Amino acid sequence: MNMKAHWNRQIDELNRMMASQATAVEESVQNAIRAVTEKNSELAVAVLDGDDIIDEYEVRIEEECLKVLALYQPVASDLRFVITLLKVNTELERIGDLATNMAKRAIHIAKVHSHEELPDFSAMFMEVSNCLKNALDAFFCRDCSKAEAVIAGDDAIDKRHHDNIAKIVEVIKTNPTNSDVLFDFLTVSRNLERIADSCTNIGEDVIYLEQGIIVRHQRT
Amino acid sequence: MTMENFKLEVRNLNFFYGRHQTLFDNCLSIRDKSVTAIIGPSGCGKSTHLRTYNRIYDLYKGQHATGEILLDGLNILSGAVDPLELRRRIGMIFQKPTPFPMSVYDNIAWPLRLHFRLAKSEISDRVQDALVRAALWDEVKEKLHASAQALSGGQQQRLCIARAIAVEPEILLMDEPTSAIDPVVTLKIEDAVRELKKHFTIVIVTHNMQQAARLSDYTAFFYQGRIVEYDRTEIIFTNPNQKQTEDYITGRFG
Repeated sequence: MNMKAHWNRQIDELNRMMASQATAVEESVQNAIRAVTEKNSELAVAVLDGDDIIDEYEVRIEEECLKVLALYQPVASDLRFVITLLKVNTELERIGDLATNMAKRAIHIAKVHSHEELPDFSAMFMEVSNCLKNALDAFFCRDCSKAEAVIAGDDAIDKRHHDNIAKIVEVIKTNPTNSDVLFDFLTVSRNLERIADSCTNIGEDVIYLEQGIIVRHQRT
Repeated sequence: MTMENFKLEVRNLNFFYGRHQTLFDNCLSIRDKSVTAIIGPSGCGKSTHLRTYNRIYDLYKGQHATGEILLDGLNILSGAVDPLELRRRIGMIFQKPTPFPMSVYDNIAWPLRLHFRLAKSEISDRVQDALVRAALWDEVKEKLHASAQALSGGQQQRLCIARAIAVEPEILLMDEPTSAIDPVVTLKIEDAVRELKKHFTIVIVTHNMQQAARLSDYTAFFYQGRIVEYDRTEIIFTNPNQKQTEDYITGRFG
């Protein structure tokens, strides 16, 4: 009797693939952060190696979405689901790339034996980790209030990034001997800020999925 | 807000087959020079609704409608409009092609002679014009005097469209016009409809949801004789307001 059984199987499969991808990406970000804080280049190399799998998954999910669009020509909430999946898929892959950027910096940071004090990013690490976790929860639980919280939190992370720039520039001005590694930290800060941007996009996609409203570019 | 240009306004339309009521309080405002699609499951009243627009139900005993259908403000249900004139102004295309048993040419010329006094040359001009607009001319120009019944199904359907538009109607009603036709010809007919809407107001009943999505500007979803939702087609197919609409178009029904 259920005409949707076959469709539902396809959607379950897509959801499973997305869950695996999301887990891999979240792990990659966590490892990249740890690689930086612990000066752990082995962990950083693991992040770089793991990116191939994320890339592969991205392509597989996209192919699956295109197949579903062509075969089922979904409409209404079904259409919004597949479109959202395509977009979140792209964001996840991008977050994976940003994690590899951080990992590359971590390898460099690990090589430097500096006696100078390095910037403390622990608060930003925490904020971005939470932001990613909440964006993924919002997507998988279709939780608009969580999505809105992710979107609202982006400004604080942007500000954190700009503060980092200002602080690091100040340190380089007074003591340029350490500037190499400080530039690495600037890059890390920018990558974290971009991860939060991607999370914001995911939040906006979740609101479109649930409510059919495009909320991008509406922030004041 | 009230300045919108409605060609046809259906107000509180009820329809009865004998004592059995099949349409309930239908209200629908059809915009001029647009394509409006009517969708819904079998038996929901879409064809019945369409058939009230040119009072074709008059031909059957025991069927009657109450309410108002205003064509440019004039209530066609009140009997104020002569049925023959009404059916010229509101043409109809059926699911199965209905060519007359005569030549391709005469299929179109005959209603022209019925409705207008025209010189022979003018009739032949209008026949050609109608066939061009129905995207059929190139396929039949060499066999205008062959029997229309020798044409393929898709060609016959376009002939019926040509016949309907030749008498310069204001509204074209189409009741599942492509359900018996292959996808290639269906696209030809859809292209023709897109051209035709520049000149006519079109209301199409279709089971083919993708067709409604591709072709129409507005979509009405019918269920059990009632209009559940009526809105711009892109809204109906991306973010419908009513759960019943959502369930129907995504195939979760029944």
